[in-house]
Amino acid sequence: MIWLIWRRYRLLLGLAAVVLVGLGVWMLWAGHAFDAAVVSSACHDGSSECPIYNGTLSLSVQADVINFLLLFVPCLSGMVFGAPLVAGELERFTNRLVWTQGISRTKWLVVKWCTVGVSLVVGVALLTLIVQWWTGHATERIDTNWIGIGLNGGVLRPLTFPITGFAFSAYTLFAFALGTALGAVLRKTSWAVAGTVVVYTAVSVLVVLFVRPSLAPQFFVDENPVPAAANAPSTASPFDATATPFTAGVIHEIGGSWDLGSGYRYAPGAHVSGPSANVAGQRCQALNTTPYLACLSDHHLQQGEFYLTVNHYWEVQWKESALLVLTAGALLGLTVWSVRRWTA
Amino acid sequence: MTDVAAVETIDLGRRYHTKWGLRDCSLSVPEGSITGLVGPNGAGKSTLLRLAAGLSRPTKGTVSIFGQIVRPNSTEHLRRLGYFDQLRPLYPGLRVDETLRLGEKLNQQWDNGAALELLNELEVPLTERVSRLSLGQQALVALSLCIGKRPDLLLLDEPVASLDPLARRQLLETLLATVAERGTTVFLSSHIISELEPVCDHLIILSSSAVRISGSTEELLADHRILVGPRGTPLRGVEVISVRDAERQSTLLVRGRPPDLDPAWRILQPDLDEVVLAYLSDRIAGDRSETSDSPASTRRSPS
Repeated sequence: MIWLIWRRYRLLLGLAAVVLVGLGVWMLWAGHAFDAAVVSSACHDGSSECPIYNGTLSLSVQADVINFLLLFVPCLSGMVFGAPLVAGELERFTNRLVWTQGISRTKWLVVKWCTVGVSLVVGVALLTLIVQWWTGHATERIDTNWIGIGLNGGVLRPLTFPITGFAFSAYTLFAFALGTALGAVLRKTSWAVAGTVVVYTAVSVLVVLFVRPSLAPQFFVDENPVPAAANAPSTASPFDATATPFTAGVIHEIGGSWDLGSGYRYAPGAHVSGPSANVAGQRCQALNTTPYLACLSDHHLQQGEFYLTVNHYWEVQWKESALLVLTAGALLGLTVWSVRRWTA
Repeated sequence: MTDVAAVETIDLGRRYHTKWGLRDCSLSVPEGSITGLVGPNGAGKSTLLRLAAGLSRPTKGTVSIFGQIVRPNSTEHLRRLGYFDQLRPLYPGLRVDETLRLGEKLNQQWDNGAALELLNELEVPLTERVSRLSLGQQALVALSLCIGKRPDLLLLDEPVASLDPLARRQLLETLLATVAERGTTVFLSSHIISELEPVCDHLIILSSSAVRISGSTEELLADHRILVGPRGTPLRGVEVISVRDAERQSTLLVRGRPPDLDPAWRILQPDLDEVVLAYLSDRIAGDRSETSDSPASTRRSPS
């Protein structure tokens, strides 16, 4: 069985390996070019001669392109390997050939799924080793903001997170399982390919919006801090306009973190029943009678910026990866069910 | 021959959405026989064979192989049967010898010698890709994949369709020589009776998703007669299968031995082709049933 799968997939898997190796080599080359650029004085001077921004294909553009290509790896795996895994056989009727030999449909499917799936995950995991090195180079230079869309601002950024750590392999496995399940249910490779793109994109967006932010405790920066002096009786306004929330300690903490946007929360320790913090905060904003900040303080509300900080990176990585792998397992179950039910 | 039939179906039915592909089908294929399944396109032959191979699931009734009910997803029946699909699906990118290796890897028992013998004898190039073979050669590769399993039952769906006469003869002769050695039961379908006549000892006629008649070819020949006589003459005691009227006389194909007949009738022995055609064209007989007294001319219960 495994022999047959290797025999039939050797060309495609070989091609995929060439693509992954090509990407890896490109990253290694570009990463070293970054290193060389950092020591060049032109970059320190902020001169237009800095090789990161200049040249026929500047390094910053290359970084964007690499990041962009990496983002497509999981979805492509689902389209190229997942969608036709079952649907391709149904379309060519070769299922009638293999299902009338001596092995059960379930065994056929599970062995095929695992062989191709594991090959993909191993390939992507090896590539991840290079990606980690590559993004490490990028995140070290967050402040300078040298590098383009995906890599600037750290590994928790929505466009960077899924191509690093365990998540890269987990997303690949998920997309593969998704393509296979859609192929088995829809029975048409072309529909399964389209479905994979749509569902995979939708899931990625939903995870960013609703799942990932809650996978680890968020870091909150109160934008209206009460100066320490306000505790003592003073004639000064309790809300000192000159007080900045972004102290050196805070800046250090949120370095490389993912900015989740601003919002309201109830002050820690305040026992409040009633509307959610965001609803209450918006009511304060709408009021014209009471000063806004006093209203916040009356309701134990704080307004500020939420962050997912880098020290929670691995926690979020393994939690999200575990969710994806579990979903892939459920999709395999759906595929098995569909194949067992299939009838000519 | 034992009591257990190689293939037995009881009230077997398979519905596709609203249309029945096969309905109320009860038949049995005796072990050791070479049974032909004849019927026009769309009669349900492929449906029946796919149900027997466990590829399809019955909507109604059961199908058993050597006394065991076939269930999709079970491998028990798979070991004993070789299934040749009408579409002859093969992996086009695989070479012929790799296709045999597929058979070897996917089956518990595999006789590579038997498969190779068949291919060598008919000079199918083993190192050629399947996609580059002629249709006839592809059919032989598909057949060798069935033979290599050393099955007790071969289910062949339109094995010789779209083959040229030479390839057709080669395939059938090779098939017969191979199965004769082992006493393999063969259940093969065709919509052209002349293809099956030389090889089959049993025949099942399927039309409009139901079994018309089944039996050994000898019985079928012995049981049927052609009567030619004056048009409109009443006829009793026989079952009229089909009627063809000319201006003055009618030609009837009847089942059963005609009793004392008006001397105006001439009795002829039909050949198998004529018997089959009579069953397949019995809708015409139904329209003209008033010419005979036999109400059974349009309906046949499966025998």
